[in-house]
Amino acid sequence: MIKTILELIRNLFKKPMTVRFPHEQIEMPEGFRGEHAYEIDKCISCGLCCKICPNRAIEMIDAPQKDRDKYPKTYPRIDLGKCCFCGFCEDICPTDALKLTKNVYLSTFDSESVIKEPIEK
Amino acid sequence: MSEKNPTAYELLFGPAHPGSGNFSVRLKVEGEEVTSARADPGYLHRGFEKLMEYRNRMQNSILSDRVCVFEALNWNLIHAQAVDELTGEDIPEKARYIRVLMAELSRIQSHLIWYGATSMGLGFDTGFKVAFGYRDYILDIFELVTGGRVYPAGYICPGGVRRDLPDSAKDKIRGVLGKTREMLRKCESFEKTTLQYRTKGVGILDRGDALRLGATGPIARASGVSSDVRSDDPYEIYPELDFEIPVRDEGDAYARCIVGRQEIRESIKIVEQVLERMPEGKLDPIKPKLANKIPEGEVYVRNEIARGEAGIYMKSIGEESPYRCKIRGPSLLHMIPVLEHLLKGAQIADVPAIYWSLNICPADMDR
Amino acid sequence: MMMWINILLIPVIAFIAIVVGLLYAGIDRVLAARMQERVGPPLTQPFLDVYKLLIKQNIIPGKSVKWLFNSMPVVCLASTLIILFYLPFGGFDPLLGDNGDLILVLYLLIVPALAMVIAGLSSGSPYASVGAQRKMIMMMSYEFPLAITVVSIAWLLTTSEIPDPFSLQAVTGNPVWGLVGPLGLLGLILQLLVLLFVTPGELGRIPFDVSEASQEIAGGVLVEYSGRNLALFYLANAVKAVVFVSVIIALFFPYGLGVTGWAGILADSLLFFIKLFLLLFVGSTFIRVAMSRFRITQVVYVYWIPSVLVSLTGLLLMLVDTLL
Repeated sequence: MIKTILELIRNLFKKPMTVRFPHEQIEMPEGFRGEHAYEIDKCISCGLCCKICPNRAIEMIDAPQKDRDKYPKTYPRIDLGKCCFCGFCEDICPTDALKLTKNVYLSTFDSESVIKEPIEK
Repeated sequence: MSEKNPTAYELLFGPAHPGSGNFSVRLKVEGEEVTSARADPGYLHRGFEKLMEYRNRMQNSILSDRVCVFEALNWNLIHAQAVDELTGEDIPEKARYIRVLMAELSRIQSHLIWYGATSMGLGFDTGFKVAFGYRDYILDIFELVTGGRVYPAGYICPGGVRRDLPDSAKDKIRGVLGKTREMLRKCESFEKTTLQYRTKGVGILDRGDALRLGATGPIARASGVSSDVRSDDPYEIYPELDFEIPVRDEGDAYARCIVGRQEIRESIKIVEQVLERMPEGKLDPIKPKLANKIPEGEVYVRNEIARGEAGIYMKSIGEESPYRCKIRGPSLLHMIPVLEHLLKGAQIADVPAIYWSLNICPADMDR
Repeated sequence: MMMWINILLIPVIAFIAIVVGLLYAGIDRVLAARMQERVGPPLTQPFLDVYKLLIKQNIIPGKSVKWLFNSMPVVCLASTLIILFYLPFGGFDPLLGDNGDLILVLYLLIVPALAMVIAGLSSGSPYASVGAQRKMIMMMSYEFPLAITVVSIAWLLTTSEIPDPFSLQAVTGNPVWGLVGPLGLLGLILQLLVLLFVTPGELGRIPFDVSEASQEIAGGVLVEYSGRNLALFYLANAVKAVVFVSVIIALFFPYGLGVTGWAGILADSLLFFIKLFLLLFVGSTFIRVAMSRFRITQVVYVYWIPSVLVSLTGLLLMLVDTLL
């Protein structure tokens, strides 16, 4: 009984455990699986990322008409709504063209921005 | 001629209820006493066993952490063990140590959730908030090692682990163990005014019933059945580790809570031993591969997860995906026979105490 | 003439009581959160909660008795506020003069609880019926030590030959601590402890919130209420805390600062609010954080056996003291 009372009164004067987001934040470690970062110049269009994805979130599409000469092959389009952020596409890519960054602030009201195109239109 | 009893009614301790999880129990009540209870499972069926038949082994290890979210790493481990037995691969020594380390940390945080949920069911709000607060430190370790706080995305995969431990992990884990000891000290100091008068003598499961109805894990150990897969049928590096199995005789809800707390203590001992004995050296990360066939065969593996004994039966006919993968969760037997047996004759006020002290997870029952 | 001014002041005092009650509810949440090692909501959270409830839809279940269902929240809030007008509040004399005394206050304290019981029974849901039955049992339990304590104070005033011992003027004009010797002092402290223990039962907080046990019976008495009706119950809960602690202050700590004039009235009001917050912290917030809920059988046992025994011991000590 006394132990409970002392414990609770002591908690009143200690700093609380809560991290007051967004004013303060816990630092995210390296290797956190967040949003994808795709470098098209390293990509060789092997299509392995599309085949390994467990949720079929990656689709290989052609480049838009105006970039067809520079980028003739197919490139991955990632649907972040279906993605489970497992990191298999990053692991299997032979040229390190697809990496996962630490960005987790992906909530949006705009359904267009959920799909990541390989080449900006 | 039947007489209608005016004090008899039916109460749904149901899915849309702040006191239960995704599970419903229909109680037939007379006055304040429950005359019979019928469990109503199936709200969380997602079809894992069928989903696993269409994915290869690495994709399945991602699915396996969603079987029960509270102990994701334990389910990863058992699935990886099933595939490893079929392929017969050699797992590097350091990978075995890392697997046990993560599985034990996952067990600790699952028991903290158990304590928090039991406190919430009894109306002790402080225990709930403090337990979930201290669990967050363990989730920070998961974030550092596996890359995700709650879903480790198949970190323990067939062949070892997906990535090596980062350099700063060992010191951070020791710090977290200190915080967990602090939490245990707080649980003990809160006990007299909150847990004892609600759980002593409530929901007694005696030894014969525990064996007959199929209880496993901490619940059976609180009723005098001294069995633990980690010592009866050891796997990974458990034969080399030194730990005890807490057993109590009374079989009431209080004994179950005490066994849960002592298991956290034993898990802390195991983690310290693993950190000391872990071999040095670098591990290569395991990358997913396509067209990676599993050799033919069938195997049944069992493991001790936080809630009891879990098992996976896997049969392969030489393709990338298993032909059949059956998942045995410990909660099926706890939720239907054991719960209905214990609720008969209980008071309504004791229903949350009995329900939460059984540590049930609707997810690994419905799969 | 004074009567008419007092009657015009009734809405003002009611409004101040509601604001103080909600402010205390906010402080209670922040202090409870700090004791649980977390940051709580902002202090104005209860005001935002009432505002949110008022703009939501008011759903009336089909199986309920509609006129009872809709009128009970109003009865609950109104009866809670009425008690305030018979008590000295914030340094002022009771608004309705000496038309009411302690016996009337004790009777009026039952009405809000009765309104909640009728509200639960008229909801047409089995959870609400279970909650209402439990609340009735709890009412029968805590009235016993409460009555013993109040009657023992009045008995003390009678033996000290103070006229009209049940009226509130007599109680507040003669603080009880000055009327007893050392043994009686111990007796009075026991009575104060019993009253502080009755406070969470009266207000329906943990460890005695069996009737609104959300984890067992999904909200209990108030399970079918929503919108404006629920907002009125919420306000009634907040004001009841102020009212009950005002009763305790009137019985045990009716001290003022003794300064006259406008500064005196302001200082007395401030002192009253500080006493209110301290007693509510001990009687409501701290107990809520430190304990878990009792079963209904344990509630009856705790109120009828230990509390009554302590109260009767206090009365015995006071009796012995006057004989010496």
